[in-house]
Amino acid sequence: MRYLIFLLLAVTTGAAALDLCPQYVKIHAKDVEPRIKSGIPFKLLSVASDGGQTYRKIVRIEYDLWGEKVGVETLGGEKQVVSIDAAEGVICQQLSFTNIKSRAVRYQILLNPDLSDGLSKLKSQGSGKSGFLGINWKRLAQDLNSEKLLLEGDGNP
Amino acid sequence: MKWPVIFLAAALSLQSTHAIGAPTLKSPYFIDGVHCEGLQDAERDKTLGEIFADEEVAKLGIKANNQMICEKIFSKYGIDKFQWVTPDDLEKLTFGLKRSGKYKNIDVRIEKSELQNHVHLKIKFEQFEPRNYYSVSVSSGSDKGSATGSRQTTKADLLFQYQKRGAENPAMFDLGVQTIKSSAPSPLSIEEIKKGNKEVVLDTSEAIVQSKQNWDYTEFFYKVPLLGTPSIPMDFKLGLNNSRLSKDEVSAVNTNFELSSYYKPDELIPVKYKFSLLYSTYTATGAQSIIRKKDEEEDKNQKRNDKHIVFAGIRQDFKASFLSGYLNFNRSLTSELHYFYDYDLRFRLAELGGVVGSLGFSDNTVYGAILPEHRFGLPNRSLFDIYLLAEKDFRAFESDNKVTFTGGVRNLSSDRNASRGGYSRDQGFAEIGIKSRLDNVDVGLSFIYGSQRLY
Repeated sequence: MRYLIFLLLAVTTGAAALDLCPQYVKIHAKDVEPRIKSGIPFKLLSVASDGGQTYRKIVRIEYDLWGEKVGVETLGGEKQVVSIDAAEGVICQQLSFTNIKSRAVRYQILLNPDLSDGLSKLKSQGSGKSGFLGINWKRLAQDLNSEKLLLEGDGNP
Repeated sequence: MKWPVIFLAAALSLQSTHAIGAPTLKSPYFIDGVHCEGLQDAERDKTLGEIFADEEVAKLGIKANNQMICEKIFSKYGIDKFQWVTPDDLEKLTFGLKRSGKYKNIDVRIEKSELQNHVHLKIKFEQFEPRNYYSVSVSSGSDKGSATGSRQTTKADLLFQYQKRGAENPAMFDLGVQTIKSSAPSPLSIEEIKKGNKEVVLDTSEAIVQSKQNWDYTEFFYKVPLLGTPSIPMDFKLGLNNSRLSKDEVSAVNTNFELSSYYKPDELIPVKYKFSLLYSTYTATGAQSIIRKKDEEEDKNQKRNDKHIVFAGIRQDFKASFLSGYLNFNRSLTSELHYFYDYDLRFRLAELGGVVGSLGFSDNTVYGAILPEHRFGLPNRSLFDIYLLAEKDFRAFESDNKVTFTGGVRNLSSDRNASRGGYSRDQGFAEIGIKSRLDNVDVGLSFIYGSQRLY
């Protein structure tokens, strides 16, 4: 069903989708689920870039200890409340991209980025960058001052 | 009999609805207790062990002391036990603690208490291991002087830090020596800053700045927290700068005393202010410089061989992620100079973009940087840099290494130089260096070439 949605969006908008779920599985049990169960809200940031254009999504996750429900909220979107077992699928969907116009991108998933500072450099339209100037990923991760770089890789939307 | 039953049924129904419903996600938590693990420094407090004769009582005292420290840490971020907090408050606490840089790692969690929405807040601290670090760097430079031809300059830094590696964990104290040996002529000699054939006259403050920055010198400094408290951290720095140039038989002693306090307006915002009280003495002998007192006529210019200046000042430093600088106000305590001030603003545009894969390094990035610096007051100077910095990391001999290449152009100019007009110095420079990080020693070597004076 998830893949069908991505495919449908890609066809209707003319943009390609980057599904991060296969990669996200690797980090959920190890890094994300323990954070959920700690009861302290946190944020995940996914960034993708084709060298000229940058795409980003921010997901805030919180946990109700008594109801044992996970709240997953995308910046600018609605909050979904799901069970702890269903959280993995919902979070990875929220971190994935549906409107990428390139065929090859590099992506990262960061834990608790400093949203007040470095994120301002990540203009969604990639301002200040061209084919000549690309993202310095290492420097970006330092500037974002995130707690941890959870995942990094190349993808073909 | 009916009404109590109805009330009980209604209460049970409400409780059940509250427990299941999604709105509980935003409900505040009541903190029943705060608990810390891993605060070894407090546990090692020997004075407590000496106060209590009985070992068991001492253990209780240490435990109570640890709990007090633990509660203070939470309180700093606005969280106290027996109060209501929201999940957002807990997120801010975690954010602030992780970015304070004081702990190697922290693990924050809440655990359910007996009552609905009552929690215990637990933090596991992993502290930095107290140890010594050493840093050695040597830089050799070759440059060309307009009047003296090419010359060599060697600069060496030796720094000893206790409990610091990198910028994350503030050092408890620093001990450092910096030395520069150069075949450059005395900076008080004006030949270096001639503009065409026109002689340039230095006013006193210009001469001070020139001499401080350009002479052969050795500087010793010692920094140790004095009245360090979590709310008012303070540093004391004593610097002794002894300069000597055998060629011109010139020597100078510059003693600096600096008492600084740091202030962070908000633990969650990466902005830090530093306030300093400065006291400095400056004595030069054998220096031949033309010094013109402010507001005096040209024919009253004097050639001075000795001078002794004492000045006091207040300085404010500020540092944000992309902008840093200082505001400096100095008041001379001698007749040479009444007062001067300057401020320095630096901002980086460096990391906005990069040229990927240049110089043949497949996994390397070269990026451009513009670092305008402007100083107002006396002297009024501006420094403009634009350069490319390429870095490549590699691991060899069980150490992390980095090769760097920097190349760019720089312009140093002054537009307020008495009545004789300003001066301008354009410089091209290129530097190649290597840095290695061993177990507890950082070593750096570099070579720099400049088309004009480097130091």
